[in-house]
Amino acid sequence: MLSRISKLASELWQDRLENFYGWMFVLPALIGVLIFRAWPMIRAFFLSFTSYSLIFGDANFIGVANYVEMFTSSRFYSSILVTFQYTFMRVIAEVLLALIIALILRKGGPFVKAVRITVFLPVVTSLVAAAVVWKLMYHPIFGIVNGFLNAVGLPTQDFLASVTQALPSLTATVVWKHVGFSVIIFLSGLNAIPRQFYEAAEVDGANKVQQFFHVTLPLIKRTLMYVIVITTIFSFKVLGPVYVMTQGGPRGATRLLVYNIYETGFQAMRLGYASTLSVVMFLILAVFTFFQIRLLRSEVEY
Amino acid sequence: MTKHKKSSRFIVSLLIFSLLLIGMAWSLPAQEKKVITFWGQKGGANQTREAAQRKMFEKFEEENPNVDVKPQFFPFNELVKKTNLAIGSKSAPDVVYADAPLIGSYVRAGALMPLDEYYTEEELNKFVSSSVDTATVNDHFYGPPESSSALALLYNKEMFREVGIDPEEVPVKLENAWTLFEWLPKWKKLTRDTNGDGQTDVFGLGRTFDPSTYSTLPLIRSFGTYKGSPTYQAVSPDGTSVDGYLNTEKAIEGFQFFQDLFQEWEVANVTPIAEILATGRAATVISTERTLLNIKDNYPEMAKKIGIAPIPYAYTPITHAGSFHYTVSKYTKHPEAAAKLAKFMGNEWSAKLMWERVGQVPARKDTLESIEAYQSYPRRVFMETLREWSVARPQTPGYAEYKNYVQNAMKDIRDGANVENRVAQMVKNTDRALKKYKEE
Repeated sequence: MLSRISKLASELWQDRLENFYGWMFVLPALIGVLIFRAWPMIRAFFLSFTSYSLIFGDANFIGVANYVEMFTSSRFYSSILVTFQYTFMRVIAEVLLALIIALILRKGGPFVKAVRITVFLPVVTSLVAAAVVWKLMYHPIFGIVNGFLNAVGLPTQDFLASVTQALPSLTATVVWKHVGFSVIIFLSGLNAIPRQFYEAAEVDGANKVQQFFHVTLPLIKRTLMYVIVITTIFSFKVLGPVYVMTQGGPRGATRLLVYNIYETGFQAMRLGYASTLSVVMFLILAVFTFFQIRLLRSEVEY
Repeated sequence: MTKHKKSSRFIVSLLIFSLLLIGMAWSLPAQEKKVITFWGQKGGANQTREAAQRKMFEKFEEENPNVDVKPQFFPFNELVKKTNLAIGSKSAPDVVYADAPLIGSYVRAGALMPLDEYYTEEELNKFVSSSVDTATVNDHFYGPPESSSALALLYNKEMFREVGIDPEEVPVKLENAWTLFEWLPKWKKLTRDTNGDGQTDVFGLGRTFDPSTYSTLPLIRSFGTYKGSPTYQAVSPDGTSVDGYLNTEKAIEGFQFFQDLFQEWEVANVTPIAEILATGRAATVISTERTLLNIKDNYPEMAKKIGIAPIPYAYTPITHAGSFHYTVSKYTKHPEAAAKLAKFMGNEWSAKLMWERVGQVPARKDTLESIEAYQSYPRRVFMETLREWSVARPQTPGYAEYKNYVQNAMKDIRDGANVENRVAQMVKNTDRALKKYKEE
């Protein structure tokens, strides 16, 4: 009896020691997360109830005045709308394009390596440098894009200065920049599908399209979900290309939520109000991600 | 032996004496150097500015051996943001290199030390009035200007001849300067499609940057019918409201005129084009002396074709002035030394050095008078504009907020937004942001 108790005690002690070591291993990372992630979020939440200005450093409590201002500001609603438009365009374009490229690359062929490098190269290019180059390419007078249009007899387009074209032009740049990243993820998902499924489908007489819809698509649903969620989050967070290419213009057509936050916090120096916008953006993203994960939850295991 | 004894004694006494000297030196309180910190601009066109400031520090340290100046230089945008943050966190450098319109905000934040006791009335009168006004808040003077700036119209004489306008007709004196309404038919004539592809190749009025409070707002303010009119003021006297200042009938007329330049008459380019005058894509630009110097340095052939005229205005002539000022942090450990350095950086020698290196119009009257180039055309136009027409940018403790909302509105108006609605929205947003300064 006594030996059983002492054995149990020793096991318990071993468990605790193991837990302790576990915590010790994650502690450095945990401290980093708490200081650099959790604390700024908590602080931003508190600042959203103040009139904090970067110059004055005066975090005076003003209750829900910032929230009232936000919900009565047409600029806020327009930036939300622009963000959703951008996210919708980007996610659709990037996911479809990445999937198509990944399917082509998986097939193999003589140019696979070259295509893979070409597609992935923009991912490792500096975002600011790429945005500067695209801005020049879109220029109505010097831009190469207009050069091509003129060469085939089409009129010059004011891509970044046009209210209707600025957002799609910006989206095209970002899709070009990021599609390689999604391609790599899709490729790893596609390569993980066992060949037997395709062989079985072929035996059952399924053609390539049927194989795609009934084998490939259900089996990469998890990868697809990951790409959609991550692209959506990236889309909400985009700032660099907007800053370099359009500065939110023309007429607010590209003033995405994060750029609006940046402008409010670091140009108008209204960090309190900018924190309010950040809190709302966080909530939107959280709700969005939650529903996306639920909707795209994979029912197929292999 | 005696000789040996003597020399030993001599060596021992020398050793003792040396040790005594060392001991005395050791026991003397070491004279500590006062370290003064400074953050300046670097990169691009600011390289020469950085060099000039480093030279100033060398001379200052020579004259004040107990002071050690420790400068750091950052790109313009980074410098302003860094300084703003440092002001908020009470960690600004000893000598604060403050962008002119932000001085009011810094004073309001309690970050700057008044320098009244370091300047006599006579010394203050040596600066152009707009620069003193910029650095004066609640009757206290906060620091001398590095230099100043003024806007003028630069034009390509050859292009004028090509469309049948005699460039010699363009008035170069302030008293008979053309108004915006007189310039408009010329800009229309100068805007051309030179290769017949249906696209404008040369703009009458070129734009190199997006609208800004510095360069575009004077156009709107000039619609004020007299100096001191609400439109001319562009903000309430206490700097906490723009309602009744930027949405007056005349201000709306100004914003509409500004929009029509791009949308209705299409004489100005919506998408900014760098070096637009230098590369022959515009017949005129409204800019500072820096554009003229750039063309002289990098486009010598084009420089021969360039003329300078006073800045066009609607009803009341106006240009914004002001550059950076040397102010002193209220939290400096060495107020005397920091104030002395700030004053030194604004003195005649420094102003002349800055002009030689950077070429920006000096804010000191004595320096302006001593520079030969400003006594005759074309640079005389800048000097006279600065002295006669220049005013500080609208003075408000919330300049960062003001600038953000007004600039965004001007951008949207340029791009075709409904003028009245956009101005109403700007006034609402700006006043909401400035409200906090009223309540305090």
